[in-house]
Amino acid sequence: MNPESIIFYNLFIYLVGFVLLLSLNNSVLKQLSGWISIVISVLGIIFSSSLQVPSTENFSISYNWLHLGDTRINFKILIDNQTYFMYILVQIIAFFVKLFSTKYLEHDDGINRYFAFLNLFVFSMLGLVLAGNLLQLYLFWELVGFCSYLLIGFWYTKKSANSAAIKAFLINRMGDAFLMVGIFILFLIYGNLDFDAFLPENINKTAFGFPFLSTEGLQTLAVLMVFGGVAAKSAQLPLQVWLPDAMEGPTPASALIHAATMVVAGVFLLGRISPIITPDAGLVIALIGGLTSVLAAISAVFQYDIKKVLAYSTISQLGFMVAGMGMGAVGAAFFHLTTHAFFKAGLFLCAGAVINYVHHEQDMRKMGNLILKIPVVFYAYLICAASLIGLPFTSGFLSKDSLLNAAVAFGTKDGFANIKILVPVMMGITSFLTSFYMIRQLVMVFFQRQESPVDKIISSTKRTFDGVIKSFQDILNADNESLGEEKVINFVRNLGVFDISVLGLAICSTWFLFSSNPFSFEEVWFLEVFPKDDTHFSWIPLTVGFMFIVALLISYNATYEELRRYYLGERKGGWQRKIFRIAKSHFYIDNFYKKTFFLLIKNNKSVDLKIANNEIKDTPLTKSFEISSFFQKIESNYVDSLIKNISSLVLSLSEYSSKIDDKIVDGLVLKISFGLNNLGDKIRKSQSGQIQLYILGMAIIILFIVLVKIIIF
Amino acid sequence: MQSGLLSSLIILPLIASIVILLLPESYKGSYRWIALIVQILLLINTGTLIGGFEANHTGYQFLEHFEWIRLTLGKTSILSIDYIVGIDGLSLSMVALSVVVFFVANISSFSINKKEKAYYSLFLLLTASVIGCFIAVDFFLFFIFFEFMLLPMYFLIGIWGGPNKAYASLKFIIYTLVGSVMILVVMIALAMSNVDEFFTSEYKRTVFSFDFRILSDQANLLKGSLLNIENPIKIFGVHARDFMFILLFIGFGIKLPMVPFHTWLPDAHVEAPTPISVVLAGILLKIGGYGLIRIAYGFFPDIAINYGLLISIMGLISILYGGFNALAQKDLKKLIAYSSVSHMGFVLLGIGAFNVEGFNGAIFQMFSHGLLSSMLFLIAGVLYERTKNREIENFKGLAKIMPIFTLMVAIAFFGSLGLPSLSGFIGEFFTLFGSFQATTVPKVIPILGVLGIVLSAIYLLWTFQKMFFGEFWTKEDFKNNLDDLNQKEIIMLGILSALTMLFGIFPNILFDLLNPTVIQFF
Repeated sequence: MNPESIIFYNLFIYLVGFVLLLSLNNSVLKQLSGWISIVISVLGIIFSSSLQVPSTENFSISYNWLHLGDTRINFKILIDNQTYFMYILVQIIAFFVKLFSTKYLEHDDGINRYFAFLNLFVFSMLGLVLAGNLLQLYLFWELVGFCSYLLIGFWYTKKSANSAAIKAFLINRMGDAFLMVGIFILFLIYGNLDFDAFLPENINKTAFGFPFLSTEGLQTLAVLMVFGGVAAKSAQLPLQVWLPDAMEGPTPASALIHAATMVVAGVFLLGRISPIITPDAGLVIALIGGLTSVLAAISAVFQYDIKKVLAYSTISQLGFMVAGMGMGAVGAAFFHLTTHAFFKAGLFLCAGAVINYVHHEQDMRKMGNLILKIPVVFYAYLICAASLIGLPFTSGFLSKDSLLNAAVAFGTKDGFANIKILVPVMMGITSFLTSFYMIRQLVMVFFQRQESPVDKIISSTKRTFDGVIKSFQDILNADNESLGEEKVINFVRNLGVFDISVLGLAICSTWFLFSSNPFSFEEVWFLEVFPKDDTHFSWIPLTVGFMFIVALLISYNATYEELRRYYLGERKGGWQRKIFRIAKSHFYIDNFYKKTFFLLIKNNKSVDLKIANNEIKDTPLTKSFEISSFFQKIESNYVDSLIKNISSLVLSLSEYSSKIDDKIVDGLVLKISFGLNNLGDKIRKSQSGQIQLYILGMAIIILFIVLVKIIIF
Repeated sequence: MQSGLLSSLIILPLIASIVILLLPESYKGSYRWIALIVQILLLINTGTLIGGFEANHTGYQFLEHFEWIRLTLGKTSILSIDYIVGIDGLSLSMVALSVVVFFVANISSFSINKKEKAYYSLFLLLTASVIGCFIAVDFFLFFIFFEFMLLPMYFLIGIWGGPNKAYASLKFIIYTLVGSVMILVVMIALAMSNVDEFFTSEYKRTVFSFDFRILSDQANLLKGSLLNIENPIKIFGVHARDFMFILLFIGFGIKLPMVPFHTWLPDAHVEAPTPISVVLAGILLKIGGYGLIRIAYGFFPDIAINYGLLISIMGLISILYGGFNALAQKDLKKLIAYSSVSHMGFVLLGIGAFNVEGFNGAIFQMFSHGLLSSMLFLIAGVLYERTKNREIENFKGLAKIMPIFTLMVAIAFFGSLGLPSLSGFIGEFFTLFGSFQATTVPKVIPILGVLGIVLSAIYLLWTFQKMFFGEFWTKEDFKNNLDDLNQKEIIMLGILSALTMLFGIFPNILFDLLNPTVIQFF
């Protein structure tokens, strides 16, 4: 089959999956919807694997989509390396997620809806990566946002889920507004929206409307506007606040959308436009990416919700990728995107399995001791976490190493006294914090605790190192048990759906998928297709390793200390508590937005109160300024009342004029006519004829003319 | 081509209207079916028109031309008023929209059971005059249809409306009449300045014409006449042509509606019965946009280019003002009415851009708003019919008991807030796009206009969340009344949502029709 029809069928089956599953009504069929969509995914993977890898030449095909006068925008399919990897990646992760979901949501009434949305999402995401021009990308860009809205708010009776869904959509909308402006400016510069038309020779030097900017300045502006969209979709400063809330959705959906695929769409877009990212714009993007990653990592350290930790970790890792794109390390950033997709999806699915096991409890402090209970999940978790931290033998090691390498090269290129140096520094801090919070989570969720926490905790600080050893012994023991031959068979037989999907993702998070040499990213086949830098700093992996050991020691201690405090009900006081709160609430960025947002919208509580108390509409219950009610006031007090005033003026005028008409004009006429009548009678007595009528008529006409003259002049 | 196909679009509903009037009350049940059959015939005829329409052809097609009035003005001149109908891409798209919306509104009218004879008679009269408005190629004829529309509309709101119907219908008619007067002034001025050269040589007298084709060609302007470009006459300190353009702008702006002349709209919508709201939002507002493009821009292109900034600013104000007001509404229908103001602001923005993208976008936006606002008002009607209540705060968690309804609402809401793959997006995107590419408009206007799409997302999603999500709850006990959609409603909303998707995914269906017509303006 030619690539065109492969893609067509591939997209089509997902769309069919969406429509078919959404229209299911029968409860038996509903239960099957998970398996139906797994079949769809398998088919999709088969289809896409028959697509040839374009090594040197990009495949592109365009259809006439719309034209307005001379402006033609085609529907264009573009397959280059970037697309190809994403194309397969999305489907593989979707497969594991669907597999996981069949069990996770088996008792949910809306399971067919869930899988329908998942299929729509995969369809849109594939459309996004295939898009050959910016408008088409925008189209699917919003559609994936829409799917994310649907899936976050999947449990629509839950209020928090709805709020999170709406928040995600609105923040993404704001980002899209920036992106749209970016598209407009790019069209102004290049006269075309195709990605392969963004070439220096197409630049329109006479781009008008921005008198203060040179062409390059305009290009920087355009890229930054596009970055506004990226910041919303990929959760970068200052629009990252929606992602932690988005965890309200079903966990497997979070794994697919809010960890592995949709959120990296922004990074993908940056990769697409990387040839036109100007150095200035690149610096801004790199700095924002770095800063986001540090702040999010700090917040991740202070979370108690198992999914929130992962959410902040996702933001932090996205910051890594965005920074990578900003400094022009497309290959490294993209490689990290791929590896991150696998291990973060794996972590989320593990978290889902944990949450399912502990009956929908998400507070990590209430977990613990899960090593022995769900060992397979634990191993998968361990591998994925190691990958996130960047330990050797994992894919994360390779990608992080290559990214940090690029960052160091970028930061030190122009000497050390440069703002650019901040990027590698921030990324270094993030790596440390990443180790810290992953170990914290591992300890809290999986490691053993004493039956009576108080007893244990009193001596916990002393026995920390014993604990470390014991914990690792547990791991080894658990491992040994399942090594016997029968046990292996039993083990395999007992593997649940959860276990298979998390293990699958964990295996994908190891090195061999990407490189033959687990220690050197330079041998990664993945990076060979992207242009790469030659600089290689061998001290980086050592430093990362050292930081990991330090983080391990500190985090292990600190976490047990934290748990001790939790069980004893102790609370920190003073400045520590303050710092803790600031970090946990992600530096109050979210609260700040909420306040600003409520400026816009009527505070509904006050309205309810008014209705309940039967109060008059205009009592100023809320004194806070709200833009929408401000406009409403203008509307009712000025615009509408102006018209009312005019009409009442006209009415009263007409009343007067009718009075004048009645009393004066008519009266006058009557009097005159009576007079004339009398006169006429007298005349008639003397003369015959109808002369008085003529006179009356003439008098009226004259009067009318006089009146008109008076009124008009 | 004197096939009579176009005239049938006017004559069929007129005849049916009279037939319904003449039928005795005992045939009461048949009124709705007669009306529906006529609407179906109109759909078929319009389909034939679309089939026979040559998209690459510029100018009017299917022209039908009859001499109507020849008024001799003194010894030297004749005023010629003709019955001319014809369509180009612009009017065809509007006619197509009208027949669809009228068809849907006709089905929706089935729930009306008060004075049915008068209702259907007036409804068909409205159909005829609206379609007449779009296909008239003579200004006088256009104006007659334009005015004639008000009569059925007035009664349809005033008799079948809500509690405050008298106020609303009067407000509607006064506003529109003020606009009409302005248009009338321009019409007379235009006709007295334009000369039909062909007939002039035939009759050996100066023939003043109302023919659109003559009015749009500035070569026909009589030397020394009021509206001649070189004429220095000023009215209230403004050049005569500028003055006329402003009159037209306000006249059609009231209809559009443009802030600050929009206040009739929320009142009229709140009081009007559902099918009339559908027609009002779906088509009547488009006549404002159509008139602006066809008449204000078509006959005064030299003036229009100077007013791009003004029109864009008015558009921007409408977008933001309507959006913010929609945010503050508690009545679902009022919210939709203000969202209409906001969405029609995009039309102004596109028109103000005065380039191909902007115009195409504006017409597309009108078309798509016609479909989407019809859907929105039907949705409000569905709730109102079941509960006699429209307050947003009174409903919660409807998704649980009305899943199909929720699906339809989702399509309508997301279409309105401009989700790509639904038609709303294309219209909004290309109006903004056109505005951004326009040389006469500063970039800050479209950039602020982009805020409009954020605003619409805010108010629509909030409403969606408040009414449909969460646990089911209503203020009073409506639960027994709140059945999911019935077949009739599914058909209506289904047709509209299918069309929204069709045009959202394949916008070129419409753009191909529009392009040749739009390019003529530049």
